[in-house]
Amino acid sequence: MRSAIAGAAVFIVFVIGAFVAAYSGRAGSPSRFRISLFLVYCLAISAAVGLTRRQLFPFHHWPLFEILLPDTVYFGRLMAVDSAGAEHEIDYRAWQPLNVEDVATWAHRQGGFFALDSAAQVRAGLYLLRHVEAARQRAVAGRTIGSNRRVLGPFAAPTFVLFRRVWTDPGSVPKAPFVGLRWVVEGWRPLGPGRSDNFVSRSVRHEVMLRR
Amino acid sequence: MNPGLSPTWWDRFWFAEGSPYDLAGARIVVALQALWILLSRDIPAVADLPAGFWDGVRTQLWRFLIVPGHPRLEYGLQGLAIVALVAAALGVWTRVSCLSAALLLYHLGPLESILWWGDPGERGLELPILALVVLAAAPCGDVWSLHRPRNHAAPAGWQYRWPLLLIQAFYICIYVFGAYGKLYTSGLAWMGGGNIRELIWSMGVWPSTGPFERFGPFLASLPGVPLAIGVFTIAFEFAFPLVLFSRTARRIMIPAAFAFHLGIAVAMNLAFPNTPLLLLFVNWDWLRHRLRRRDGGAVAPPATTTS
Repeated sequence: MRSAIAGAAVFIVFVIGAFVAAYSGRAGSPSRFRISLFLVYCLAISAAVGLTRRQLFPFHHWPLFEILLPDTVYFGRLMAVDSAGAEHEIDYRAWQPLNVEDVATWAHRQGGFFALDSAAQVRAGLYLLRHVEAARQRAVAGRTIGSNRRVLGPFAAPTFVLFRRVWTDPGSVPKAPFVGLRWVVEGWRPLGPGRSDNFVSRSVRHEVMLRR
Repeated sequence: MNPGLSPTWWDRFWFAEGSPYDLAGARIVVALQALWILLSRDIPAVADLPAGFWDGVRTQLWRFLIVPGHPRLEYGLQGLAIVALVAAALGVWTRVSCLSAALLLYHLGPLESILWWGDPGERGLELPILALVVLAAAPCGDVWSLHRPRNHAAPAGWQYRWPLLLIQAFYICIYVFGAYGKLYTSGLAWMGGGNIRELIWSMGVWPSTGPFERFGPFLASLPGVPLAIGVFTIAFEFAFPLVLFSRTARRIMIPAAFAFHLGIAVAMNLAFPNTPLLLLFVNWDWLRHRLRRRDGGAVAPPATTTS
């Protein structure tokens, strides 16, 4: 809560400060002093956010791939389970307007999926399941899936992580309806491309099933 | 103006003469960038997620005036944001259009990512929000505006300089604090060849990342190259503020930054949605002068010649 209050306060002062600076500049004798105060405020907040690594959106600290990779990297993934019990990879476009990496991350973050009580987990899981099943049905029918390109087509802005299409044509889309979602955690050792010992482990964290 | 309070270097830097065309160019770039992101997502649809999704971020919602469960309202607000951004790009009522676009984006932007990360950054809208507030407070519609006659020219002035520099300073934070964060979190080991190699490979082993599969592993397999990439990245990011002070640095580092992001995209399958904002550093006034002269049109010389 404190970070939310600080974030709101910083933004409100930023907006008001900009206009105080602007109106002082429009008066007969422009006050560079007030503009300078506004500039100092902006630079100080930007520096404070960057140096302390705190988030005060829209002031940002830009944590861009700053990690030191451990020997084994664990990725959370969501897989679909069809009515025959077979597991399938889900095309990234099927999640839109959500991002696949966001959904996978949300499950594990503090206050995310695994922090929900069991009834809420079922509700959230079923919502996601119906969402990707609806996309599967559209893909099987040869219709467009994903909402990100609906206006700008191929000129739409990419997401931060780029994914390849899994469902490239109706023939590559699973035919049986999805009846379950499976949260799995996979461990990978980034030893090099194409090596069989890259893969380390796989565990199922959770399953949400519509019916068996 | 305030000699006792404003050092002369400060005045010379922030309040030197600036071009109205450079500031208007920044206005157009920022508005188009925000429109590009907004039209490439379906942000209002996120408001339709059921209750459980919002439990982990309840304390943050009020700050962005987010009330889940009202996607129609969010579509309406998105429509207003699009109108405001188009008006800002066209230079129409820039105080109102830029400010209302900024406030609407401040509300809409976090919807895309706040649920998942609890941190609504890095989606390409944080810098436009900051920039639009600054533009709303600046005379960014004096030229290249539907309100002005086509041949309207505005003289250079200090009021055009500080807003552009401030917006550029916000952009520079990406690189400076990107580099600082790497050293803060991981130390000098971040730029080691082993770590860079594994970072590149890790984006290859994550299933279904793509579409670029070959360039990254090839680059990572070359002896000495991962270490060079690590050292160059830190040095380049820390040196990026030079673009604020040196025309030569701008000519080298802005195209290099474009290449840098393109290289990351094809090597690691990571796209950076803020890349088009590098156009904030283009000298639009100089470009306008060159293009008009090439077309044989009479045109006043560039309003300023900044260093």
